[in-house]
Amino acid sequence: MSHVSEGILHAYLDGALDELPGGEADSVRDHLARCTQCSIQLGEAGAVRDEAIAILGGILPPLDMPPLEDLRSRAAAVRVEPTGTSGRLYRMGWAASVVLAVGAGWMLRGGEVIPLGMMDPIEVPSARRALLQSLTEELAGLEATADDEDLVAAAISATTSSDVVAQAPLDRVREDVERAASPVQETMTDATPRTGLREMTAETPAVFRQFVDSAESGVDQAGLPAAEVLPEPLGVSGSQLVAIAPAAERDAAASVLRAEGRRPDVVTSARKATADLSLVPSNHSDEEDPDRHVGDAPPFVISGLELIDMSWISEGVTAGGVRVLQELEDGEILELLHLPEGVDPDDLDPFPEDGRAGVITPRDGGWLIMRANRTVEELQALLERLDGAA
Amino acid sequence: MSVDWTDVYRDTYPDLVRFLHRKVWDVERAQDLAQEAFVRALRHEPNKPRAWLFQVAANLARDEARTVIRRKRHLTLLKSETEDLQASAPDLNDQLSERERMVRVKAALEGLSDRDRDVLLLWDAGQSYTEIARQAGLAVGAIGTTLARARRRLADAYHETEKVDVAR
Repeated sequence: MSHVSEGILHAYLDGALDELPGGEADSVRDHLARCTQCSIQLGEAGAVRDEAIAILGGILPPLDMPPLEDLRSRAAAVRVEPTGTSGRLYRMGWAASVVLAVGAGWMLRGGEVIPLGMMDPIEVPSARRALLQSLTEELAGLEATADDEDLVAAAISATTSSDVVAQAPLDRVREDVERAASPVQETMTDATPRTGLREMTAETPAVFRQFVDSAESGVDQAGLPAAEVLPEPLGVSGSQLVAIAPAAERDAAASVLRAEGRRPDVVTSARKATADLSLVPSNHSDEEDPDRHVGDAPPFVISGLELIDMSWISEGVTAGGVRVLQELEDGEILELLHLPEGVDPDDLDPFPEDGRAGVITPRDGGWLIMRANRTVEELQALLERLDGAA
Repeated sequence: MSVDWTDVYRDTYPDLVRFLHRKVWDVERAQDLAQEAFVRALRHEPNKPRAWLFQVAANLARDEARTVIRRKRHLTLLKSETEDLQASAPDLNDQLSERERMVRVKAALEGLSDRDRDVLLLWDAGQSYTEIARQAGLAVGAIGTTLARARRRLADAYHETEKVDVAR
């Protein structure tokens, strides 16, 4: 085998070789036993590792462990009750997600103005209706200041009239309510990368426009920096929409494709997908970048899964990347984002805490980010499926 | 699967405090947050308590950091720590030395990227590669590379702080 990489050397030193995929642990051990060059590098890696241990070990905090029973008593007594400004912000964040989801749903339907009440009306079960009612009361109970009254009123209005919310599974809605009420959860500050979808027209709903305007002006409705309450509007709205109503996003994305004369298709190969969907942006010419043309198949579309959408990212730190949405066998959405070479994933905002797991892995000189409502292990299995196809 | 919380508490609490201390840089706060994480775990009773606890602890630390930034509490914190040092003269040298070391480690860690720092601190707290990968959203195969880079940068940054001290 070839020489052992620095990462594998550290895994060897950490006793983690057997955790690595690929089953190469034994061959790595054999190689290290025979290769002088790798042995030297192993020694150097060991010195770096020891130094890091010494640095971090030099500041051990004193330990004071209260009896476990004390914590049990607290657990039994404590009721989750957000208080003060932070609690309000979390709930405001939830309210923002509802409005943004509605707004994004509107946009994904191709800009067509569809009254909320006409969006796939369904019978709302009484239990869900009760939950929505309690949610409405929760929102109404916010300590609205003069500055955020409009925001709360808009959120209440959106909540009570939105079939997007009504279509979500009852458990999912309940999770959203609990998330809004739990101090451990984030506000809407963790935005997914911008996708270049951020466009508004004169017909954009006023409520959605209000959020976008306030976020862009840097000051939110409550007078706090927008970054503390409001997300990047479309980045988060996309993920929140998936969290609240995956079917709505899928249908909306499909309608956009149909409106453009394309149709959602089952992908039989990445090359076919690329050719079918004309990935090249309209302002692109092969002369400018001969490496990117229609014939180049992106190696990150999973064969056999329905392709919902594929788009170039034209702005933001991920510009030049590609975003792919595919439908998993059970209808959940799989989001694949390929960042081109030169983009540092550390420049991205953290994953939003929307219940979806994500994995990042080096791919083709750049990075591949994969996210879905799956466990990390299941995502890794999907990654292997991708690798198998390649 | 029933969880033996006595074992989980004994094995995980020290690691959690260690992890949180390197996030919030305040011993009492780190212990408060660790206890809060356990209170929540006892309420939710997750199937994989250790991984769950570290995830919640990371969230709590992040919220804490944002709160600190919002309220500019770090100014007060530094002031009170200085007052504490002045109040106990016999231990002054030891405390100064410890504080100096903490400031240098903190500066070195802050020089790392968020991802490198998170992975390094999770490993330092005793998490396995698989657990780190799950929490950091990385492939297991990427953990060794990330750790190698993080350790090297931590050592380099720490030596840089030594040079600054010598120059003074």
